[in-house]
Amino acid sequence: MQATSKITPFLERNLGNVLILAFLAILYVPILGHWYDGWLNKSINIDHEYFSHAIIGFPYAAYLIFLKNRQVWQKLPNKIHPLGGFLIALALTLYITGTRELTSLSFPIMLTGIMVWLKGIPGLKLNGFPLLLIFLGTPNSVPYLITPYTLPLQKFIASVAHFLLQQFRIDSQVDGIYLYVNNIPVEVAPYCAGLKMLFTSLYVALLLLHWTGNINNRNRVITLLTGSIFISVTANIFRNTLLAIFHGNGMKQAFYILHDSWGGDIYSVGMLATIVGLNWLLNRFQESLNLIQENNDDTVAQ
Amino acid sequence: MMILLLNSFITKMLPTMDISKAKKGILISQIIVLALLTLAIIFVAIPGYFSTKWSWSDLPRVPEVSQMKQVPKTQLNFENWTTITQKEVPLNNYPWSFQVVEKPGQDPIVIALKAQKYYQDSPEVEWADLQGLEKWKTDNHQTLKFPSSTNPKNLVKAHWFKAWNKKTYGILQWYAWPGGGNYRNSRWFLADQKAQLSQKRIPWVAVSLKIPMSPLGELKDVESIAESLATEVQKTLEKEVFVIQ
Repeated sequence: MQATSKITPFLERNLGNVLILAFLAILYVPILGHWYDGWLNKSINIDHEYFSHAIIGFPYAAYLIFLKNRQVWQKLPNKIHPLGGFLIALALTLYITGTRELTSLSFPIMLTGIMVWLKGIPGLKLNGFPLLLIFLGTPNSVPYLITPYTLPLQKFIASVAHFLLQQFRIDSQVDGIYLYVNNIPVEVAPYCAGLKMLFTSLYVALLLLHWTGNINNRNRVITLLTGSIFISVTANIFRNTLLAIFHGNGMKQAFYILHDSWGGDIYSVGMLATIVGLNWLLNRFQESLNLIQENNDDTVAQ
Repeated sequence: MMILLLNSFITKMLPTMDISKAKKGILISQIIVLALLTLAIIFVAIPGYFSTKWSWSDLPRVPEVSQMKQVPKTQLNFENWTTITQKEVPLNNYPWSFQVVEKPGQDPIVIALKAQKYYQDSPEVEWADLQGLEKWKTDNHQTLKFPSSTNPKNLVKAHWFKAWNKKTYGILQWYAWPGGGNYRNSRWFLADQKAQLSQKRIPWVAVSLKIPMSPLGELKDVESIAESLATEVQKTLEKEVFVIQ
């Protein structure tokens, strides 16, 4: 009975929250399991894999909501906000349809709705960042819907890759989204445009900004996000250049490794590591800047 | 609607109560959330747990695909048009049908068709695939509307433009589906999402007409031919292709 005596007062104090969590789990654990299965085993489709960054994003959001923000949350006044009621009703309606797209969408709306309903706008502000992570990690059809519009990016990648190949004196031509090495074409397809890695880079940059306490430092947010876009696009151009070389020279094994196998994973990890490195460099830069600032202040004071 | 009414009712009632001390450990506001979640649990989650699979775990099937799979191998009949040839052409790893038709006194027109062959296939970059094949330069982009045969009030909206490589053509492109069509895949997506609400799907065929024209001519000169053939193609697809065997 010793063990229960500690749990019981906790349950008594938090009965409402515990029950809400249990009910949410009944509603959403099956679909969350389905998503994770899709990310880990690539068992759903390529559009779903665009959101695989949520593998780390969701646990981090949960950590922020349940551990980091919990005490502040409990101190916020309990004030019902009608917007929350509206969002909960909307989420329920979407959930009841049972279609893949709308059931998925109901998840972040439901969480936002409950938070706004219980604590009003201050509650939304407190957990705004984790909710953003959950929204950006929820699978939807946006990657599918933008495929017809990535053509300019595909053409840009093909022409820059062509330029690079020329620098290495490799015989190549470019025609729109087609890159020819030794007259063998490689198509820079929509899914080769690197949007998945671009999304992942931006998401990881957001996580980093928060983790290193820079999320409210506007200059840093802009610098790191822009830097991530630049790193991601550059890395993808190199990748497509290599793929064109492999394909044009009949190096099937090398092409396969970089295009479909572990080579692609190493490339992704390398790219993300570059973003982490950039953030570290920016930190160092800022520190030395602050140091100079302090020294100047000291000189003025003397 | 019921839920919305309930919500506004509750919101009006609540300020008069002391919600912070409704009951030990649980607030009125939390009880309301629990009540609402219970609805979804009873009507959706419990039946889901007891069924063999969740409705969101897979898309509903497209029963028309067994008929649509025949398209690359089939010569379709278009009223008032004579077919010269029909062959299957693989484009971006998908079988297309290229059928050449003509009318007395007119240049032959190429009809390119890509029919959905699997329930998970969606229209994506068909127009870019054709562009990659033809290597066109294009100009004079506009839209052309024509009626569906099964749903005449609903106009199909197709992309109509001038294109030239060695020769010059008027090109008309759209995604056809039963009772409608549009050249944007996002329109098909919306129609398909709506159909999914009643456990149905929208089958689709990408259509591209290549109509020869004079290099210095105007698109207007071949517009009426384009419109009449497009109407005919849409009608044939609706009657002979979008059918459940």
